[in-house]
Amino acid sequence: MSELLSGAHIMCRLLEEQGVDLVFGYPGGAIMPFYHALPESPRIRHILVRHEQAAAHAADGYARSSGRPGVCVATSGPGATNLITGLATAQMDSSPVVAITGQVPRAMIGRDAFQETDVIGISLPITKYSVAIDDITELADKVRTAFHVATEGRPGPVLIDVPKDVQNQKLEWPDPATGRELLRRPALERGLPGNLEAAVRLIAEARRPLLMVGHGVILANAYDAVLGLAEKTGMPVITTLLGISGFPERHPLHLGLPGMHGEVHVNRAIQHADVIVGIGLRFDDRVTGNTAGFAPQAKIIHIDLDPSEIGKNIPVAVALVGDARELALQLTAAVGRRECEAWREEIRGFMRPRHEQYRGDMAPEAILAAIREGSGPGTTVVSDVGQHQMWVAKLYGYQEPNSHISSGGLGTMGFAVPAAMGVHFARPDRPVWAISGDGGFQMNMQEIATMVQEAIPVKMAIFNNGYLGMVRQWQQFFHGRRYSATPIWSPDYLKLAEAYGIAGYRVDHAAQLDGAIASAMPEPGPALVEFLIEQEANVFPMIPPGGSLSEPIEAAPAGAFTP
Amino acid sequence: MSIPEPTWVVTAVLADDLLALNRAMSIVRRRNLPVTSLALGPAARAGQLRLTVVLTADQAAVVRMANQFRKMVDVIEVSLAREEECLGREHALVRVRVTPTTLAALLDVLALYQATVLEECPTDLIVEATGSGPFMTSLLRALESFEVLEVSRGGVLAVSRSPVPVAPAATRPGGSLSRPARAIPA
Repeated sequence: MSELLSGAHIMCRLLEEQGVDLVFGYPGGAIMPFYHALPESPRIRHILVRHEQAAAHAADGYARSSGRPGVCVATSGPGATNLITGLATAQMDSSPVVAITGQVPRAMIGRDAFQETDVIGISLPITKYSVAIDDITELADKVRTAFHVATEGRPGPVLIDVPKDVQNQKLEWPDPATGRELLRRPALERGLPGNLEAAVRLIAEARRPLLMVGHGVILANAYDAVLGLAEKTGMPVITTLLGISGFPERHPLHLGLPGMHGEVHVNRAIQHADVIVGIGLRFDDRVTGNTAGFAPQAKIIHIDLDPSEIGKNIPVAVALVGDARELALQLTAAVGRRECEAWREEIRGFMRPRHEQYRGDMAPEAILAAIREGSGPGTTVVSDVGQHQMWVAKLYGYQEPNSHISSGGLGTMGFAVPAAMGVHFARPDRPVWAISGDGGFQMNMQEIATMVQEAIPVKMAIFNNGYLGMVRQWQQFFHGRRYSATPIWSPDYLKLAEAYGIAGYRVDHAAQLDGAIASAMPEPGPALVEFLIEQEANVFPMIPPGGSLSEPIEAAPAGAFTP
Repeated sequence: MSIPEPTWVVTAVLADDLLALNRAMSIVRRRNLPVTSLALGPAARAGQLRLTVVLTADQAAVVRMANQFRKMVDVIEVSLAREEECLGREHALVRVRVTPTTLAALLDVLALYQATVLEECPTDLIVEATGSGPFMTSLLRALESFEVLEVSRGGVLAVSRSPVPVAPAATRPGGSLSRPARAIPA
């Protein structure tokens, strides 16, 4: 008879078996047996965060950046509930996060025990799969299933809830061969073969075709395939927020970001297009505006791994369900070579230069150019949520695959700083920037301590305008400039940096930009750069909520606040 | 005058697991669709449950819901049909008061509805009936004059008559066929 192991030891060995070498977590009562066993698995590095939400975001950042599952661990009750925002973020953006939570002992469940929470019930709608371990004999099967579910098909977060006494039960190491049939689900649907021909015909006949690239292109590693398709057909390429860095931005076919803050010429191209090939995107409302007015002349060819996305938000003419890379390659092989020169010329005619004055020349363009030039190739930019997120999306100029990471679907403020920690571990030799506003930064700035303790050299940028800028912008445009609850005070970030013992820089004039970046980059640990920007700078253009892509706002409404 | 929304029968085969049921129902719950009936029982295969949900919604919403249903872990099979395209039956157990003077009349009513007496107690009968929703409602109304003591009524169980494939809710006219190979029948 082989050696008996505790449930906690089996959990650690299962993580090793799944190739996990990094977990982000925070210990507590109901997860203590796991933490007791963890040092016996020296291959697994544990990063102690300062708040469980950060563990989930860091695991998410790691997963998005590496393509492998990111693991976070928390105790029962508040530990588990603090993970929830991070799991919802991962669910909306199809990120394979595996959350492991401790639970009160089985005999205490249902008795409102100390730190008891029905985390399975709470997490069900915001995970791809949540599972409670009822007995040690189920542990291996369920953990293996959860890892499989997280990464299979369209990725997503899973949660494994393990009662404390199950962590202490004893069993022999479960042979992998004894695992149950992993997924009782129909096999992935494929597009009908006839649809490929229909798509080829539509592309051949199109006069104004567009290619829209979404997150699926990054998830499927389909860069080359999509580039090949674009170059063979000459179709101009649009990248959605999560599709950014799925296509090189200096490529002559690249147009930019569509939707609510998309450039005017990008949205006008959509409104004039007669065929749109959408790969790995879900035609989210921030992309389409009012769907009734979206791309009124276009027949949509929708390529997606998830059949439930087809026709969910907009009607499609042809659907190809399957792997983005595989289908893009098939489509490229089947389409005839063509060009779209007249159409591209027409789009160039839609372009509108915009000139804005910024305090101290602190234009977002200038800040982002300085970061790009100062940090060099191989850099990953993780943005938070708000005005700066749009600037970071539109103005950086991403050339390398998967070099832009952001919370798109859920729009989670506070994401950037912890997610960037995860990105660092996926790409330890390459620079990582966490760019936040002064609002989002203050949501998770406690993680500076984690970075210091674990020597995580993430560079943090704060776009400080003293406001919750995007909400303020909406108040300016749609609420008569009533700045209700949007002015936000910040601590002295240089003193904050000093308190944590890291380098900090403040930039309030464009002339200081390059120097600050050049000083921050070589810092062996984390560093912080605060950019004091125009307080009432706006993100233009903007499609008003519920409006169609044909109705951009290109200037702030005149007039002061009238109550 | 607006056209009333159709009534649908959604049938799902799930893994025999409360979590699978919870996940499946949360898809319905999250949309707040008006559910008029819910029935759960073992499916044809061991280890699987069959869930039958009757609800009212427009076609686009219900197809979207069924598509999301289908991709859930431990949801094995989903079908969708309009109510009139299904054969649906409800089952009920009713305890009804009986006296020597009402017995004959009660037995007449039960015969009319082909209800079976399962058990006779000194003061009441336990009867069993099967039928469509309106049929059951009609039976219960007929029994009211005898004093109904207890009703246990199951939800609608349904099988489809002949599944007809339907295109996704949102196919633009003039486009070619645009649905995954496994169509949701309606």
